[in-house]
Amino acid sequence: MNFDENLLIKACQANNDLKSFERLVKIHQISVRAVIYKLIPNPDDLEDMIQDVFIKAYQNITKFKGESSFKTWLCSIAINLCKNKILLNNRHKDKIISIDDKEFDMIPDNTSFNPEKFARLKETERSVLKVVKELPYNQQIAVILHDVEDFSYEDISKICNCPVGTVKSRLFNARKALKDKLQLVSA
Amino acid sequence: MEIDCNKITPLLSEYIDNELDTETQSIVNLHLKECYNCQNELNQLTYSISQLKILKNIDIPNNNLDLSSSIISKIEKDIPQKSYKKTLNLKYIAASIIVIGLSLFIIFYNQQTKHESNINKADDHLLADYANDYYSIIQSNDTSFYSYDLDTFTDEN
Repeated sequence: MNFDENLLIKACQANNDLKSFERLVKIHQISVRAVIYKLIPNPDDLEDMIQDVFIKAYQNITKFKGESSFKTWLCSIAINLCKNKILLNNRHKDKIISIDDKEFDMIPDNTSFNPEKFARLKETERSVLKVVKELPYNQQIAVILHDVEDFSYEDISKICNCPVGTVKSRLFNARKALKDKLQLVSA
Repeated sequence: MEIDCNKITPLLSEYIDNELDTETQSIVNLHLKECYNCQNELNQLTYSISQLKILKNIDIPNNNLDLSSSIISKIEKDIPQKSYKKTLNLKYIAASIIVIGLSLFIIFYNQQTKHESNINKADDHLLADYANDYYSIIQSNDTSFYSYDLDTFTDEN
């Protein structure tokens, strides 16, 4: 956590300063969006979920003690909201298919665009995410946070509120399960 | 020393992440040099992790959309900011009144104590003067003082 961010957090904690909180939202919204997108079944809920994460963070900002980074703390809120959402959503697998079809085909805006390569990459992304989403949810979280979002074991243990050993075993089981399935996915 | 592959494979995930202690890491290293199966297992795990990294750059819908202003307006709308500020202001006002009250009390108390001590000092001086006068009269054996006093007393009665 850098000095400026620390000051912003302190201002929010001291007098619920909305301007400081707005800056914190600007800093962290992309990370929060990335984590939620990879862990929720329905992308239509994405904007609402991001808003819910930050509103919950604002309401509970005095509970942030700086024992982890602010990003880690925000992700723990996001993960809890995602879990709740999944518990409420029984149409998980149907929605995954709809994500893949709808959201993976955004065409990049650059001149060296190669349609074939782009289509192949999108296909790979689609397959990898689909395989990940077949894992038990706690393993999905471990793999997405560690291998995709680069959180440390300690951070994940804070986010998931479980011992580091549990994170290690979830990651091990997830990788073991993914190993065979991902061999079939060509880059 | 030969180590069972079943003991090594569970460690490969942490081995890739450099999370093993140096002793365990060197044991795994030694084993990997000799064991083709575990090397293969390691390669497969490394490959699947590299595949997962593809998701790092995945296109996320509206990734550049700035939600900060809508979040802030929702907070302003849904969370009672004013009542919080009001409570905060009331707290400050109450604290200020207490501080001012205490300061005034201390100032007046000090002044009162000073005044009383001045009076006491004046009384002490007066008593000392009387005592000195009385002592000097006794020392000088001036009987007129007694006689005068006695005469006065007699005349009045």
